[in-house]
Amino acid sequence: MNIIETVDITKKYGDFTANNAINLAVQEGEIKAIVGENGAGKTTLMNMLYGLISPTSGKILVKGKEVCFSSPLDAINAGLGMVHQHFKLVPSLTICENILLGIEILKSGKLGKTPFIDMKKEFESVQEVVDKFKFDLNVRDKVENISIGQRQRVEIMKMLYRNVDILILDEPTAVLTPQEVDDLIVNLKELKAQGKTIIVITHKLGEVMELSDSVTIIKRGKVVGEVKTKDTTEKELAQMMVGRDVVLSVQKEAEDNSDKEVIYKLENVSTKNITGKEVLSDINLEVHKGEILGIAGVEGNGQSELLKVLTGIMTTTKGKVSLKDKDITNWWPADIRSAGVGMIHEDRYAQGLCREMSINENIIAGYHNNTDVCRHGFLNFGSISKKRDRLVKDYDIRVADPEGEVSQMSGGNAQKLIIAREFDSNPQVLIACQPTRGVDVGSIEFIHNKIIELSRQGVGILLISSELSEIMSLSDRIAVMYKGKIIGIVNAKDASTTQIGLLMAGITDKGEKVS
Amino acid sequence: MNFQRILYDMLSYSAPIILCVLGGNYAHKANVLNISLEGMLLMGAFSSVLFVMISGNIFLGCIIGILATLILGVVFSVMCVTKKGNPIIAGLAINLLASAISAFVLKAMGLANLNVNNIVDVAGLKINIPIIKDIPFIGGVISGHPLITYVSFIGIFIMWLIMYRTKFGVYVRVTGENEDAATSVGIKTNRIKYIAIMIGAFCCALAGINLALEKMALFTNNMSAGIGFIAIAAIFCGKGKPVRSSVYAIVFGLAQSLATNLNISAGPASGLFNTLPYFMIIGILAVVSVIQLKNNRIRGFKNE
Amino acid sequence: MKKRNTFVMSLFNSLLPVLSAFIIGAIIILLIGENPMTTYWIMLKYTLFDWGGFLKTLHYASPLILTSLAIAITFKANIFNMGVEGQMLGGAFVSCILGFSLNGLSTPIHILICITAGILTGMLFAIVPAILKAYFKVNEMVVTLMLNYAIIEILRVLAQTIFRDPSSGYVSTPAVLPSAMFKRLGGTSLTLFTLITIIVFAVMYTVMKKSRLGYEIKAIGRNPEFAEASGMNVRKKIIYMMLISGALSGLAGAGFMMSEKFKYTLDFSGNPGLGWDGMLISLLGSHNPIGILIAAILYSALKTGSDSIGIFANVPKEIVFVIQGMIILFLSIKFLDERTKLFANFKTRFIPKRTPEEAD
Repeated sequence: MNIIETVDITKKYGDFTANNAINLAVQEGEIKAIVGENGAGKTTLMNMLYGLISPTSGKILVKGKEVCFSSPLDAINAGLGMVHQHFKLVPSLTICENILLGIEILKSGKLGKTPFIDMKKEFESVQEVVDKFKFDLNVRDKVENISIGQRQRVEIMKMLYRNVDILILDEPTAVLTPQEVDDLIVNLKELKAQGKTIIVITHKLGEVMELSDSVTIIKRGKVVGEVKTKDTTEKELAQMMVGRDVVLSVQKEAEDNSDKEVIYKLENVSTKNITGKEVLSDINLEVHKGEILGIAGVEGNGQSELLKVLTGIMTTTKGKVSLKDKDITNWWPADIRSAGVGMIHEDRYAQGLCREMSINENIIAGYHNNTDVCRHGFLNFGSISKKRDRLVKDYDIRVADPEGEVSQMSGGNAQKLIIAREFDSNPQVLIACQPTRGVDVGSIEFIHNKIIELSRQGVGILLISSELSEIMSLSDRIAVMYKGKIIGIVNAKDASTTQIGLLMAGITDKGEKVS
Repeated sequence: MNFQRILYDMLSYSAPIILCVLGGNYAHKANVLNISLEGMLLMGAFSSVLFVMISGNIFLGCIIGILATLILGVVFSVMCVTKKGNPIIAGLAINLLASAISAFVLKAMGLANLNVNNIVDVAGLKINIPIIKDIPFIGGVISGHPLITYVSFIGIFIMWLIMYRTKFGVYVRVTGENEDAATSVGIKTNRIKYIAIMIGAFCCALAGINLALEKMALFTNNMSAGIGFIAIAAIFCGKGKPVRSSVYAIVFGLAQSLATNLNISAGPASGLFNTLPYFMIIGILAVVSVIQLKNNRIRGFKNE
Repeated sequence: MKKRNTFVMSLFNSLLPVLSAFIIGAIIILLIGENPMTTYWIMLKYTLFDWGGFLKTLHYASPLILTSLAIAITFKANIFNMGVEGQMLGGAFVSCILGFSLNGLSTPIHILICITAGILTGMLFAIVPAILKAYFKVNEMVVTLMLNYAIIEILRVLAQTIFRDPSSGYVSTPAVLPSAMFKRLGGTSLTLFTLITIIVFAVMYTVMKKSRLGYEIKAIGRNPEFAEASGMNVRKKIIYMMLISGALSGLAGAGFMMSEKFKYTLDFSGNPGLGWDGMLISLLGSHNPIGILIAAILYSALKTGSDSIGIFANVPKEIVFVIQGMIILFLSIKFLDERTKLFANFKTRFIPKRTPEEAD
């Protein structure tokens, strides 16, 4: 019996369709995996199931009955529990207090319930349920003192304690170590044995194969595949997940640049995040003059950190970054820029542009010390406007109001603005991260052509993207990142989508799974 | 140097600080930056003395005084919680308003201060605890304080109970630490914040009564003299924990006591003791930040 | 089009609180049996519509302009320097000390020394919170707020002990020497200090609107991540801003000391204090130089007008403080922002967090 069913469920945000007529069916007692790239719409779908957002149209049926959730509490009451990717735990409270949040057990006095919590009863009650599911937690521990894997188990327990029959887990293994992943898989299988239904949202295909009974593949808001796990392979899933139906018209002949000089080099670059976890391990890369080195990989494998390190926003724990023969390791952004490195950041509105400032003000950002716009500390607005007009023309940037703010521009044009700014500074090396994310097709083609043009002028380009097709059509060589390491470097000429897809999933050419 | 006097004064000066601290802890734990404690304290002092003068009855005066302070608390809550205003500016406004309103009313009544010594017998309000008062040295320290002073110390335990052993206390802490987690399980965080602020107002009202009515039966302009801000310093130093911040409050009370008592020997320079709370909080904030940033490799500031 | 829209909105956001406060003030005045309209009229008459009174208003507006600029420059960058009051008092105190201790100097030199000392003192008091914020990300609001009270206390002790004027009945330092006083111009209340203020104002205006630093401050206030990624060395800029803020505050204190007060007393700064007045004015003027100028003059009229109320009307002048408090209270919330229905026809301009093409 289908315990959960969605019928043509759709979610639109203005003109943008996040979920497009999705029909999903989950059988009772199975473990279903929902896979797709970042931005495919998986989380939107789950948020609707859980009552965090309401659908634009379509129906949700739970146990055969149509439901309409207005809040997570409704979902929990209907037997649906969600374990979020970002834990909703309170660090200074104990595991027990977190699990019982909102449903505390109070002491009873002679006149009825007192406002005081019955700590003893709470501990007993929760420990009982924990042991029942064999979760190995000491409920008296404070959440701030336990590991991430344990915290996730607490999140799961929160739902199990409330007697949910269906568990939805959103990217559960994103923050776990390999060992913790194995433990989680064991726990989930145990839950299944006890009759629970489990839905897992993930992009990690290896785990999908190990854990699930059936898989639904979502791409750009639509369901593009529905298979039984035992009938498919990782290769097949990878292909369904990353292939694009829009054929890119820009193709470049991958060139061999190994004879040209190395102008940008990374040696053993490593860094840790604030919790002490190593997010980049011994990155070794070389970019030759005029070469486009693509860095492929599923998002979350260290690309953001790599970009932050190379643009001076994050420091390294070890390693060296050199521009020609200059050591620019851990230089501040302003100095890196003046040394000749152009930067296209990952999130254009967070780091690349300031929405509330005018186009003029954005076009000089990062280069506002240059003598053509700034003399003796004063900005020359006349020359800035001239520059803006020139760039708007050269880069075909559509602006409704040249004096207006960047917030009035579309995403594609905003991105072109950044490209114009960076390219115009005549860099020796360009670092571009997700340069065409959220950009319309016409602008994508334009941007790709510009990147190729730049490489022909001898600029070395480091292209970081989670869009495999973009990497494949532009790069001369492709490096694949997995879990903070470079798992393999191939020549774009010889590489196939499948091969790279496998590398992205952590499987080396020899067929080994990298842990 | 009269040690007994110093310790007695320490308890006496600490009491209003402790009360403000105990009340202000809730807003702090609920992640509401409430700097209006000073204003609430002043309003409590002013309105209690005023209404004792008008009504001639201590209890009635106190109750209306507490109500007036609660109104101030409601105003602050509406501005900050419901309307999501800037709590620093709103808090500042409350402080200014309390000072302005009290000064205005005094002027309008044509008085330089409010003196209710004819209704309230300050000496009579002091409680001389039997048996304890006869213990050598300690007796003179502990016995002989007015009621609310004792209430403040007992309050430390009560507040600890509420904060850590009741449902409400849990909800307050959850609202402050992870509001998302609270709303995801259905806790009404706005309501929790309101109650937290009102508890603060109530405690500050009590502190005001202790400061003005019980100790001197007198109100003069701006007699709160920064006690509210010292309480804020104690709250920050103690991270909103009832026991810990009360300890800081007592330390600051000791500083004040030293300031007054050493006046004779050290001269007005003893007033420097009064700066202790402020430097302590700056020092502690600095140390905490240094520790937090130990492993941080990210430069720059994030959009808050 | 959008610029005009925001300007109208800012204007409303500043006017509504003021109007509301005055209305409530009027109610209070009615309650004590006086006529609010005549009271308000008296206030305006002697401060804006009388030539001597107007100049007096300008004179008092000088330190206010400086303190509000001090606030504005940091608030624009989303940094809250709550310590302007303390920095100002520090500047005033030090300039006073030098004012009465240095003998035999000619007036221009003496004034120059005192002003410089005042500015440096203000900067000194701003540097600690600046470094704590820039390098350790400590909340500058709390630090500057606490430092305020510490400074006030220390200055009080100093005024009562080492620097006390024994001949005075109340706590006060000796008065500064005549060589350290700004002379009144032409029988009016104005001094050179006002001229200095106007020059400083013009400089600050240019800096905030036309200089690279002003641009960077704007960027840091709107999007600090972007600012850092654009190489704006946010840390250094934070320190610069705090130092400038401290300098302006110190100048305000020193100037006020040498043009009006001439000695340091415990109520030097008035009620609630020039620093807090500065905050009010900066909020009213939306942290923009022109807005501040207008708000400062009007506010100064309000304050000097309170004295007239005391003299010419039966209303306690403290009513002005009450109105001040309410203005600040109402300024803490934005009455109108992008979401109000009054601007429904501009709804299409409402900025969604993401543009349509972007994925979820």
